[in-house]
Amino acid sequence: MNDVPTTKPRTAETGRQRDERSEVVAELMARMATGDSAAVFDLVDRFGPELRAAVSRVAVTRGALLDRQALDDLALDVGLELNDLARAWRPDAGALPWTWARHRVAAVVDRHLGQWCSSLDVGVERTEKEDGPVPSAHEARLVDVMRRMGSTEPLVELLFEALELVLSERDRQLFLEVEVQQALGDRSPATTVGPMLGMQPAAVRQQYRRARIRLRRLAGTDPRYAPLADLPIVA
Amino acid sequence: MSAPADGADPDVGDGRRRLAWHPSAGVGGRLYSAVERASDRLPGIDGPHRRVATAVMAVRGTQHRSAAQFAAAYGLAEAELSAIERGLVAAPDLPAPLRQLTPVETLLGRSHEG
Repeated sequence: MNDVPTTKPRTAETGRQRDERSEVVAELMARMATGDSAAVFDLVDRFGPELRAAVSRVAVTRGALLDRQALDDLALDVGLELNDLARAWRPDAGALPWTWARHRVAAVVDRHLGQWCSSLDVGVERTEKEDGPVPSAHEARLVDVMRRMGSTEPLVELLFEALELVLSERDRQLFLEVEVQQALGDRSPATTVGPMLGMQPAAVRQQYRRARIRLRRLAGTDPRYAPLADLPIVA
Repeated sequence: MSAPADGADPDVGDGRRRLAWHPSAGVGGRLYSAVERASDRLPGIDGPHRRVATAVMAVRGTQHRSAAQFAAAYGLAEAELSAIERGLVAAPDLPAPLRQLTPVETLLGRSHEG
């Protein structure tokens, strides 16, 4: 077998698979609409990752990270909500049921989390107490800054967890430094970051690209990290 | 068919506590908690044996089968399956193929053979 497939056939196959899955969703929703409640379990069994990702996205916007058990429970709850709404959903409208019923998904998550609100901006409070800017010689490493931010920002915590999961310490630093340089308008971040890490710019570019692919793959396959897929740093 | 005792759920045995601790509890454990969570909320169950109905629907759902396909697979009449899924059949009265060939009894936490 040729082990270097071209992009086009793979893309076409993905599209076909997506069509088949859309047909399955439509069939399950039709069964629910006719009162076949077993289709709820069928839906959760086949589309669990998508349902958990929908739940996880809402939870992150509420500042919460859910564990696997909570994600499973809430995915089932979303399935039960969709069972109630099945008659109103139209397959030709173009939106998957859990996207179409996003307010119901949000209600399920809010019911689980209870009252929620954004935390105080601890960073502002801290800045007011400081006498002045920190000298550059004592500038903290980005990794450490991010770890501190993670204690107040769930999405940062999730990103940091993902970085720890798929990258070595050096690659984490490389990835974040390149991102910061890009954000600062550096037109050749690899040339700036390379000397900081004792690497050639070409090696920095290659490692950065690999790191981003790993992050994107994690966000695409593990529902826990699905909220990261929407971040520009990963997308 | 048997009626539920006052307040008690007639379809749950002591085995469910053991199930949660059993080393093989992975996927089965998840389905078990799904049955627990859904049994009070699924519409269309008008009989007293909600948990039996939910467990059978959970098994059918995870087998990705319609009612007709599931009934055919286990040699049941569709009307018989419909009665089970409406909660009209107690666990001991479930047809033997469902008790012996599916994890329904495990989901109900039953250890008896009857």
